[in-house]
Amino acid sequence: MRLSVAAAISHGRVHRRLGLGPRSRLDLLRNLVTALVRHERIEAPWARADEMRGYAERLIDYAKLGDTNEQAMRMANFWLTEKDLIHKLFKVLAPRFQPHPGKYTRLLQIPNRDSLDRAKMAVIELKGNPYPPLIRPRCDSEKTLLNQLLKGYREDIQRATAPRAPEGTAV
Amino acid sequence: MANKWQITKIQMALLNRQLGLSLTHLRSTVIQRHFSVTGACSAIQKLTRVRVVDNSALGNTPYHRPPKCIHVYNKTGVGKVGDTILLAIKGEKKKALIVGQKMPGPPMTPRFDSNNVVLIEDNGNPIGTRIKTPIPYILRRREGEFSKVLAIARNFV
Amino acid sequence: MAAACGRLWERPAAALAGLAAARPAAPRRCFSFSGYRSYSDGEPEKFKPPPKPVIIDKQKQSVERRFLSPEFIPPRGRTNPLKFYIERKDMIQRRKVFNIPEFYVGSILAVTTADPYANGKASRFVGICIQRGGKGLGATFVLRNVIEDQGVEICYELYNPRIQEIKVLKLEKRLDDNLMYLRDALPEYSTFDMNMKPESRLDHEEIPVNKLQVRMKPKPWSKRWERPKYNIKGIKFELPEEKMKEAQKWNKPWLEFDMLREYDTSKIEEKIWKEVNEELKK
Repeated sequence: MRLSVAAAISHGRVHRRLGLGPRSRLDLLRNLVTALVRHERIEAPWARADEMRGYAERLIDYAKLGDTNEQAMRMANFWLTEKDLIHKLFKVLAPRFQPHPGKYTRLLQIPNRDSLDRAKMAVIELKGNPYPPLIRPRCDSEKTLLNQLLKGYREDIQRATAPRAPEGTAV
Repeated sequence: MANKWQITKIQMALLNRQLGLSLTHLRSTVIQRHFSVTGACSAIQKLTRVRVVDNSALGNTPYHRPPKCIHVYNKTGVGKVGDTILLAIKGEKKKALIVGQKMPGPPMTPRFDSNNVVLIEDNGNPIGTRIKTPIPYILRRREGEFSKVLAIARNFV
Repeated sequence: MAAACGRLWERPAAALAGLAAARPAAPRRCFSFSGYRSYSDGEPEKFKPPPKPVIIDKQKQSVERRFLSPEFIPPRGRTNPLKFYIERKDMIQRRKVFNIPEFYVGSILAVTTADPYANGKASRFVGICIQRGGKGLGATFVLRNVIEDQGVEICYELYNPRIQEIKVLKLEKRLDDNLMYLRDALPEYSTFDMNMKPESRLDHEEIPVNKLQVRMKPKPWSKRWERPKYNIKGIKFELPEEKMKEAQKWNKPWLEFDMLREYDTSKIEEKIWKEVNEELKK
């Protein structure tokens, strides 16, 4: 669900139609949110993950209010279908994201699904999870032989073209 | 409510036995309908039922059929305040002037809870002698045409 | 949307409560300060005028009860709020020359408008405010009254230069934010005297909430008010039990858990309140 109607493209639609209706849509997203809180990194169709992202972040915003807040408790009770996760939400996730103002999740696209259909798939994770990082930092390839040769070649060309420039201006 | 129903049922049964005829038309006045039988009749067009607000005898004596608009004298076919319409009232055809409408008009003009008309002759003179319900001031914009109607009005909003 | 509105109205109340808790500190400080100065002068004066702190207290309270007219709060969903900013400038310009009082849905108002066709070129209308609509310069409010057994409603534009005076005769709230159901209620609930006297009230009092429940005309209504969509508390429903149960079929209990529908205006409100107040003081 977007918070604003993007101009000229969405034609007034602010959320995707998933499942069998508005009720079913929330139920479906609810299961995804529960899975995300339990496993901290899940695979899902990209559209569903994108839709669920806003709800997961709002739920953590609510959890930051503390477990004494009645509204926060009601929200957690609705959005987490497995009730043992309520404790994890308030005691683990809320303190973890306390210093951050927002953007608690990361959404990355992965290759399309092969088995069933060709659905666009994504992996969504909570930031600060214990798993190895999805994007490995790129190793520095500056010192490899090929790059060094290319660098020398570029410098040669530059040196060759440099003295020609003042002649051009004189004419 | 249930009590009322039962009473009417008993009465009906009695009457049926006495008179030996069906009283469906009587019952239809008693039934409280839980749905509207017409659409939102805010605009005045053909077959819209209207309310006559002057004190003419023709408009105020009860009749089993409410006055209905059967023609609107303008080019759009939708009557607004200041338009003349033709009414079917008590089996007669009469011209009438719209003096209030349910449909919201331009801003800062009143909107009434019923569609009000005043009966007029063909030459523009009103049939009644007094109008008690409020009349919108905006009718005075065309003072020349309706001066006789405006002269018998009491309240303006 | 209804949930969002509910939250919208709750927030200022909470802010008010917080301010009310903080309030007693200020006058006490003023009081002790004056006392301290009189001691430092030398001879302590025996007689101190007691009403002075009370006056300060009143001013403080009147300042603290903040009210931001709802048309200042922009609707959600626009990424570039330039339009609202420009409109706000014009609205403040108008408010500088024309006093628009604080009023709510359910208050009784008297509005005088310039009308070229009226006697004396001005017409006055008294009625209960049943709806406030629109955002920005095009904000409107609807007044309703019953005159000679004829229901009359007038939709006024708040910033229309034709309006000469808006006077609040009775400042109160009702149980609902929209009183359109008065069209289908018995006429006595929307009948008000045209020559009503304005009710006096102190500046720092809380706005009273009128918990009146109206009785309705028999059933074909303009809307099915018993449906949970409208969530109306101000009607005394006299429908049979099964009808009320049937209306609950349209209940959507999941809507309140749809967190992205909520529109939290407290921060925007704070910002706009500051901007408007600074501009109005200039």
